[in-house]
Amino acid sequence: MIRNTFRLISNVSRPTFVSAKQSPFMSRNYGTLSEKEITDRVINIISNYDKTQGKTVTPTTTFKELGLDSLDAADILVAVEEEFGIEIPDEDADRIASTAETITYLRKTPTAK
Amino acid sequence: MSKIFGIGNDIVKISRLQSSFERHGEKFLKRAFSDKEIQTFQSLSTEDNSRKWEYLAGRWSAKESIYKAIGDQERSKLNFQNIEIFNEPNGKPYVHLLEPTKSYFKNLGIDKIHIAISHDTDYAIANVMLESFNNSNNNSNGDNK
Repeated sequence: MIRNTFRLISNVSRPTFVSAKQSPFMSRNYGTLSEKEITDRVINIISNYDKTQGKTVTPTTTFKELGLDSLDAADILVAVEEEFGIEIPDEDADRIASTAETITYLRKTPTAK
Repeated sequence: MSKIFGIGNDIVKISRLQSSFERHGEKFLKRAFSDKEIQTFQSLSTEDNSRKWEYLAGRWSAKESIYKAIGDQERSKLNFQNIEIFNEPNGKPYVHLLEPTKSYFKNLGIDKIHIAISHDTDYAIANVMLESFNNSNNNSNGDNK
């Protein structure tokens, strides 16, 4: 009885560690999305925005370089929210002014789908 | 004795606000407008909705003007939803600040916000002047009439 109880407690409380060696790509995954997928989808959103048609969007392009103003940025970030199923708090949204910052934010958001 | 803290202006094409709303609806509105402003927007109804887009564009332009008038400050500290633009019965616009933006302005030394909004067919424009009083005399309810 005592042994069974101890075994039960041991099984419940024992933490499970996953070795990083088992997944060499683990450090590049954020939530369920890979860095590449986030980057591709963000670039796709920005590239398809009216004002950026025909312009080259790279992972490092800033909104200013694309000729986008604050209203465009607000519009794009709502599109990002819809695409990734998240809500970006206003304070965070107001700090995002480039493709790279959008990607970085999503990488830090495990709920992004 | 008072001094001018800063001035700012902004112009925006009214149809851009319509496009943003048609693309993203309420989600877009909540990014920049307070609940009361959204209620007013929803209550406006004309046959072609033009007054609604004018309303949004005028307010967006006013908030951008305030941001520009403040100068070299982080946009993230401003929170456009906390900057409400209302109208007096005679139509004159005034600013009502909500916390924490209200305290942020107070800490910067901004005591009064003068504002003017205009629109004509395609564009809305706003002008803003921020005033500092030597002896701070803030309106306790945040109104800047």
